[in-house]
Amino acid sequence: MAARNERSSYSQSPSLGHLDSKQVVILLFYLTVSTAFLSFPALVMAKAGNAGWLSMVLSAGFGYAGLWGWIRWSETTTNKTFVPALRETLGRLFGDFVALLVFSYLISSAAFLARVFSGGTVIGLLPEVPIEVLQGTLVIVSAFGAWLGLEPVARTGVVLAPVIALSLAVVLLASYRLLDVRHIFPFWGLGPLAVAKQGFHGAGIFANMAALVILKGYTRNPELPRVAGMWGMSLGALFMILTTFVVAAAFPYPESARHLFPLGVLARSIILGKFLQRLEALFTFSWFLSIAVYLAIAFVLSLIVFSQLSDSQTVRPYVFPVSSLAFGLGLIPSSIVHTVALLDAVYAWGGNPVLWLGWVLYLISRLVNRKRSAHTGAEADTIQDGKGKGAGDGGKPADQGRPGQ
Amino acid sequence: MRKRPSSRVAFRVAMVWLLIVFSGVALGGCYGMRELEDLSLVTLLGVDKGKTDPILLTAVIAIPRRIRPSAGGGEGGGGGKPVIVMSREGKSIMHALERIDESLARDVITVEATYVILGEELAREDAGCIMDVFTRNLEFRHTTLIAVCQGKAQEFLSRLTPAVEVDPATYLTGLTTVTYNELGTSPFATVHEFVLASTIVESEPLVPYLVSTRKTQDKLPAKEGEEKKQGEKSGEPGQGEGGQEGEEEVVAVQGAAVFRVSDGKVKMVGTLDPKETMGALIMKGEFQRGNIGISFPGPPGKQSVIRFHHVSAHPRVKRNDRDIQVTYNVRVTGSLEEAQGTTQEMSPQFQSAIARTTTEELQALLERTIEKLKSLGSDAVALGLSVHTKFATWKEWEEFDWPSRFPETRVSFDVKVFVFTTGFTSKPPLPR
Repeated sequence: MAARNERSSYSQSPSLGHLDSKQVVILLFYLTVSTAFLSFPALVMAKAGNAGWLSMVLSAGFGYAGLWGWIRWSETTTNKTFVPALRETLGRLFGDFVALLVFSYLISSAAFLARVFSGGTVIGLLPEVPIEVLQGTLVIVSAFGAWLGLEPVARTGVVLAPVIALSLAVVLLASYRLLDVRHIFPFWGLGPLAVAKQGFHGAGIFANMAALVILKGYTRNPELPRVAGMWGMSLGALFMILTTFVVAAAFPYPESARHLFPLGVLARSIILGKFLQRLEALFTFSWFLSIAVYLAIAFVLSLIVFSQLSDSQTVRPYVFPVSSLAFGLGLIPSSIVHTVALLDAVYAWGGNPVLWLGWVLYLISRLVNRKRSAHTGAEADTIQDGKGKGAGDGGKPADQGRPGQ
Repeated sequence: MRKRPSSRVAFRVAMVWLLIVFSGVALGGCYGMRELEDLSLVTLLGVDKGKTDPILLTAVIAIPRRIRPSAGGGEGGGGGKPVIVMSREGKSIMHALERIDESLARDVITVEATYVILGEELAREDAGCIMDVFTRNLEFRHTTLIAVCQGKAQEFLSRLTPAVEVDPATYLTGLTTVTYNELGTSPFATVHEFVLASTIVESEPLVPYLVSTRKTQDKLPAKEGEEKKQGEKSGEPGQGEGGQEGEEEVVAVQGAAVFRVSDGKVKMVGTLDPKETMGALIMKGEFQRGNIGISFPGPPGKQSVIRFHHVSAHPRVKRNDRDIQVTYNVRVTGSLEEAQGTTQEMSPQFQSAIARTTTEELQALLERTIEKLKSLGSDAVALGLSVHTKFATWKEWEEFDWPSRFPETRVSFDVKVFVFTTGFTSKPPLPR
């Protein structure tokens, strides 16, 4: 009850805003599905053959497992926001280090994803537009969203979600002429081992589900939106599995691995009329919106983590530096092929550790609490709040540690 | 010190406007704007083997004001031919296109190209040269249709006179659509399908084969392997506009050109006649509707026509290590559309006899078609797609080496024909 009262006083703060569980679902959906219409399906096909959809099913399974780890850890740190909770579990030094890793993952994956999208749009749609213009437009739009706060981004996401889901669904359904279920054979693609390996590696794209724990301090309901997390994960997983399945059925291997943007190729195959050419521009435009919302969410999450790290209680001073960082990072790779390879590496070597970090934190948290309970004689699960080790979180009510106030 | 609310609102409004303007400029494609009046719209492309350069490209360019139907009927709105035909040689398709561009006051654009026609000589040597530009270049669409013409594409396109239609591209598209949908004697192939079939081992390309009808009246398409005299009537490559008045000919689809991919080359290895094409489409699962002529049961020498309304063909594959046996379950629903003579038989026995004869004829056609494809070494019916379902991994499938195993594969047909009508529902009391 006390926690509820603390949260209700906190919820008066208008700066970043607050989310209901529906908005949490939509935000998590964006964080996953925005990778679907870029190069990810082709990357999966390249490593698992046309059994890539099986790999994706496996990855989704790992995604659920990873998310569950974050939920379990979050429950051991009920009243704390993300960084203070990390400090409580790992101590100030390691807690901040892990928070920086999460920040780096969020910002680098967002920057490279934006670059892949910009590069793809330049190659596939607007060859005469400089890539910096598109990248810059994306970053500015998203930074503006981040500057406005979490709730405006979530509300925008809710408004645009049907458009984006519809455009994806139209592309997937309208390309039925190209689909042939026989293309998904041989069933095990490049072999069960390759499928399993890619399933594990590819689980990194669900690392953004950790956002649920970062968002928990900004929900209207004081309880952790567990169900919303599962719904967000399920929607994202469904779209990813469906997308890889459709790509596998539309393009026989190795053709499926050759197209950098298979959904773009599917969109190009849709014909409405003789002089209605380049219909894919319509779909690409809706995907631009999705990427912009994704970037805005990633910016807000990064800003929240960074402001908690610096105990600054506000995010706006960091909007310009963080967005500039994303803009610059995205332009580092010399070509789209390098960017795709980098993004793949970020998902595999950055995403996977972030995904499984929840379980690691949970286990450490259990150990620490058990040790404390041995000292105090209380039950391990009851020692949670107000016992942080670092400065800025020791015994303070959780709300005071939240940024953006 | 906090800003006044009005200035904050003004700032936000200004930011929103800035974003809208910036996004509008960046996303609207204002960079590199191209007006329709400044473009030469290529509607048909022909690709041949060149004499001095590897490629001879022929472009049929629309003259929009002439394509528009005139109020009083007739050929186009502005009189004269609705298109111009230009040919140039080049080291590549893009190079040849650049050379065509050099002779025109408007920029050449291929985004409206509905058909690409391959000359037979080039197709027999290597048709793979067209695939790259269609895959990389945005203005070459994967949805463009593809066909092979007898002789040179340059000659074919220069003489092409559309029957009924004004626009040659509309005519060719309509022609292929009708023969595919209504007659079932021509495949319907896009560049996308051609590229796919060329790059995977489970299938090989099958595209329409176009010939001049006037030639077929005098002389049927040359037999396979027979060398064709080409280019005798065509102008010198790279000599500008083609087209010779008075030699206009109407074209027809005469079955399909069969390709095989070997040593990295996509080579046309033969043709299927219209009936064999029908058999191939049935096996491929792409057959829509069509007619088949059968010997009328009873007195010899009489012919009748059965129209197939629904056809399904499901290959059942049995694998015993390296031995593959395929049985196609073919199920057909048809009706007797025409019979020579005055027979008005309606008995169940007669209906069974019609069904039996049709079954035999169709079975023979399918067997003939698959044997021909085996002899050409081309799995143009995509049988490999069904066979590879019996393999667990890609490695196993690659080791099996389907292209070399296809000719040895045993294929049989289990055909069942249901004739739902023989054309009459009642018999007159007194036959005339």
